[in-house]
Amino acid sequence: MLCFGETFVLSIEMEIKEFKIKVLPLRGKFYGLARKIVEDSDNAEDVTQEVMMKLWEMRHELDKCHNIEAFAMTMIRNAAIDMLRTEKTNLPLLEESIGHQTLSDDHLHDVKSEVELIKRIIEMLPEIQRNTIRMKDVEGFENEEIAEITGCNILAVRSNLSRARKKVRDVYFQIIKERNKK
Amino acid sequence: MTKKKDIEILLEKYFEGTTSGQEEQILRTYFTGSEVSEDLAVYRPIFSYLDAEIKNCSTAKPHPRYISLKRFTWPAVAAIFLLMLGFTAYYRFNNTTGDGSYVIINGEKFSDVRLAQQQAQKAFEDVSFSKDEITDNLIPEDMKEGLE
Repeated sequence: MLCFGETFVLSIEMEIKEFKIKVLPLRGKFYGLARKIVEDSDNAEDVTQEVMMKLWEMRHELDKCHNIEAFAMTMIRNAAIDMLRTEKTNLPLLEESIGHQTLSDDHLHDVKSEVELIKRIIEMLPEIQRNTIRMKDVEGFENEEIAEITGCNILAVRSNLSRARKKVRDVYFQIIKERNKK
Repeated sequence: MTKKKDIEILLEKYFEGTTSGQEEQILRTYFTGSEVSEDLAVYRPIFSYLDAEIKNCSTAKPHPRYISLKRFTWPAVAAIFLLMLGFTAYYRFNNTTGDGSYVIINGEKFSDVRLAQQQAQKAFEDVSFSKDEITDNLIPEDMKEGLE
């Protein structure tokens, strides 16, 4: 029985190991390209982390990919350009806009079920926060493992996670409060 | 039942992003249970949603983390114990030949000690060799002549 459990855990450990061998060494290149496009170190770090999480999510399909590096670089380029667009059009980032404006715009008030409301709020989070919640709260990885997989600082993981969870809580409370007023 | 104070502490840790997977499991169990304190009930949808997502997720791609050994340990111990109990019982009841002396003549069992001894003695005699027989068998003819 002990063996069964250990084998099971081992398979995910193997996946992490394989990912660390195949993808993690490319992280420096990813960051370099992101940095060239967005010209800001924090944003470049966010873009890299976002793409690392996406790559982890699609790790099972990566085997079929002939050139992971080229594929991932395209992802970085797209993510970086997206970030630039968001900034240039001066649209407030979702993170900031998830307050009042989006609440009314997205008809979150109409969502009847509270659980559905939570789902919608999570969907509206910036990708990096949404993915962190997914990896920690749904897939069950510990912060250390997420840091290991994405190659980023554990403090950054914790901070993204905390920001994401607080955002979900605050927006949800706000909607409930407004509902009760009516 | 988990104390409300403990849950409040865990909630604070949860929103700081510092809870472990196990602590999050405690939160989900508490908030999906029936005894949620009224002032904390507002957090229920968050954990209900996550709980449902985990269940959906595990059907798509099972995550090993929390399919922990613990869940299987006691059933495994119980299964092994029952198996051993079963074997012991099987041998006890099928091993009709139990203790003591007995003899089986033509498929019938006799437990009379004297009869058993008699039969055993007879059986030993049947398979035993006399001194002459041993000599006959072990020493070749030509050597025997020499000895004589």
